[in-house]
Amino acid sequence: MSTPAMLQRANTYLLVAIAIFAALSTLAGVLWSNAAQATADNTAPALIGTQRVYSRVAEANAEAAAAHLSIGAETLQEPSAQLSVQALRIVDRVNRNAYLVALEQATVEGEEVSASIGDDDQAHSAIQDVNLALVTFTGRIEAARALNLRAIPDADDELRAAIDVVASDIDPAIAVLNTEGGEKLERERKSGREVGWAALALGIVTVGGLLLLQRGLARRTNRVFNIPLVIATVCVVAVVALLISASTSRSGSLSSASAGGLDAIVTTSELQRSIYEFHSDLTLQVIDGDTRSLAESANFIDSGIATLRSGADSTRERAAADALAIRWERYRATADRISTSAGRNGAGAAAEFRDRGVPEFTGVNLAVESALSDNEIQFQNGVNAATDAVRLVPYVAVALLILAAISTVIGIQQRLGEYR
Amino acid sequence: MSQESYARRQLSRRRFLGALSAAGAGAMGLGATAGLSGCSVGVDDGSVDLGGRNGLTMLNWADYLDVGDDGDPYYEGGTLDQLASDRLVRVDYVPGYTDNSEGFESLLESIAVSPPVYDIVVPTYWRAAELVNTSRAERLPIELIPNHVNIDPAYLTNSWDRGCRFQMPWQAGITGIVYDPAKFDTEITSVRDLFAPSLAGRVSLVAEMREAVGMVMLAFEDGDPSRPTSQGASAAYDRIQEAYFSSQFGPKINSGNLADLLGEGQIDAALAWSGDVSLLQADRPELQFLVPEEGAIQWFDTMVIPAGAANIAAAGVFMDFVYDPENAARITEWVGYMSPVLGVQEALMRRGGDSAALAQSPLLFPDGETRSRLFTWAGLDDLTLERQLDANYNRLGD
Repeated sequence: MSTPAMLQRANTYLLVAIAIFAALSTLAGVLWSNAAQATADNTAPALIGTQRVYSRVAEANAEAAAAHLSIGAETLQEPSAQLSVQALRIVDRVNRNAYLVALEQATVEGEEVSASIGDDDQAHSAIQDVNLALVTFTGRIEAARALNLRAIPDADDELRAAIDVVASDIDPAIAVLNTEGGEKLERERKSGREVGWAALALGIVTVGGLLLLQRGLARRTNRVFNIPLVIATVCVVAVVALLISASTSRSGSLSSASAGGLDAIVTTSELQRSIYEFHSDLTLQVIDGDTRSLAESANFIDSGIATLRSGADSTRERAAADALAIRWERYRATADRISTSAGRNGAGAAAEFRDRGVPEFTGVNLAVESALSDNEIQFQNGVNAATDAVRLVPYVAVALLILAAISTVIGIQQRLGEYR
Repeated sequence: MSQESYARRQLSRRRFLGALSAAGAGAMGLGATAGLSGCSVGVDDGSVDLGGRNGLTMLNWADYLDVGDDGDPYYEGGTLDQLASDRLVRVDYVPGYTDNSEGFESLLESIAVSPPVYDIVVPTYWRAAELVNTSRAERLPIELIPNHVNIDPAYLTNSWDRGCRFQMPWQAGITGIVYDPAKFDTEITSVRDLFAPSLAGRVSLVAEMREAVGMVMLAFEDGDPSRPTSQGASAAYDRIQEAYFSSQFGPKINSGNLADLLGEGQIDAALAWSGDVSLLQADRPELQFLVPEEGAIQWFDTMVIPAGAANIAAAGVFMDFVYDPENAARITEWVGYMSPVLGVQEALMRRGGDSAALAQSPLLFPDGETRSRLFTWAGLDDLTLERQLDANYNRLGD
């Protein structure tokens, strides 16, 4: 084959390779960008919102229990009569209002999670379960209140049933949401991986082709540099480097978001669930008037908090973990007193539960929420960094590869021209 | 205020608050004190490196920090002096925040510049909410505020700042009724009494719309200011407006004019703030402060670091310092308002004497029954209506 014919063939092969490389790079960039955006817009908000739903539900339950216990027999002037609106407003107002506010917030957060989920059927089913369970929970609480105001003993059973709804319906649904969210995050992290590898491989082959061509031309012409071909090579190398950099950066950011943020979120939310279950047990103790050791649950929470502290990787996270530990210790001390007195001094235990136990549980719950919030920020920052890392890839790759194609044609045409 | 006045005020606060605790249920319908308190954590003086930025400027209300007999906030042994010696932080203290209307507008101007004029401002909670919701508040440097755990949990659940990550309460107070029993034939027990035609021109309402409307909602509309409805708030406002038009009320009460209006006899009863009433005891020990039978409004002023503040770390150190129960107790003794800091009651009891008597004050440490009768205005869903009521209320009586 003559040199011009070989050059024409090389021109064709290189242009095809550059075109396919451009297509694959663009596709990889788009897939990465879409996945990162989906994480930022859907997966991350859904995961974060799920924890907030649980936090609000825990708070609503605690306040409802406190309200329930504030309407004791001693506050009812006429046990068989309904309290006047005025008296009712006074008796359980503070806790009742806190319960209503927390319930509203749980509902709003649930709706936001629904809106964030996207097209994940299982997650949609789980959040619907949560919303349905909230309706059931609310119904039980209202029934408990109505019976309580009439001093009907079944009131306590309704409150127990409400607490059970959280454990039997909401808890599992939250777990499903967390699992689905974690799996979705992993899928999004891997999205575009095969296309990326293919693009990278083709990019390397294209660079190799360009270098071989230039080596061949240099031997024949004794001119080392064909400037347009050098430009083309630099462009292709730049796109290869861009792909490697973007992929590495994106993967690293998502891994950091997952390890430093999401894992910490999941750990903290499990801790939150444990603390809530502890409070539920205490509530039931006060209602039932029995004495039962909560030491095992408390010790489990102790180790959870210790894990959180040891896993903190910033001064702010450590401060949040320390604050949680202090509020937990206060609440635990109060809970121990209530727990040991519940059997022999029900009214006193109920009063301390309402006046100190519930506020201190609120303090713990919100301290957990604060710790979660810091983790959420870290998670969100990682997700945003991943999005930023790949946003410009399609545009830059296409621009550089167009330049590479044009330069290749010019470079080969220059050499071909010398034969004419 | 003269040196003598400051010294008298110190005594009057203690006498007022001590007298309240002795009176117990009489004037306020209060039971035994059993306020929420908890163990607290004092913080060892940590060597926080502020990078040379160990000064800050703070804007606060008047009479809201302990001062010496000559009115100097930097007096030896005072909060600011102790802060300087213990934490090496100097505060340029400006007690110039006048109100949540024009005063707040001035505050906004001062923090709109870069960097803001102040590193800490102390508006009332609903104005603080506005700063937080419009991203004009800095996140608190929690890592510099270990005493953040001493925030009373009651203040942690505000929907606009759950967990107090953007603000830390400074002081809380009660809006109730102040009156001179000698000037009335019958005992005043309710805000309804202030609307009696026989008292026309002799009574005043407080300058804050939310507190006045909230109190009237409690008294007349069977409403709940902690979950106010537009209908209830509007009805309460209409009642107030009608009363103003028929000259029922005198000038509105703010921090600066209560003493003059009561002292000169222009009015004999008013809605007023609990801590301010205690100031009057120096000259008018006969005055009574009442939590009406239908309930009263509770509010709190809160510390916010404006976004972009130049001395965030120093501000954090200050907040941590004043949330140490011993330092918070010193401030409480002086200002006479409810402290949002856990452990203050115990700190006062440890001091003994007058301080221990203050620890029993139902005004500073309301028991559960009293707290159940205190309402915090939670804001209307209709923000436009709320702003309109604010503007209209500010014009009443002009």
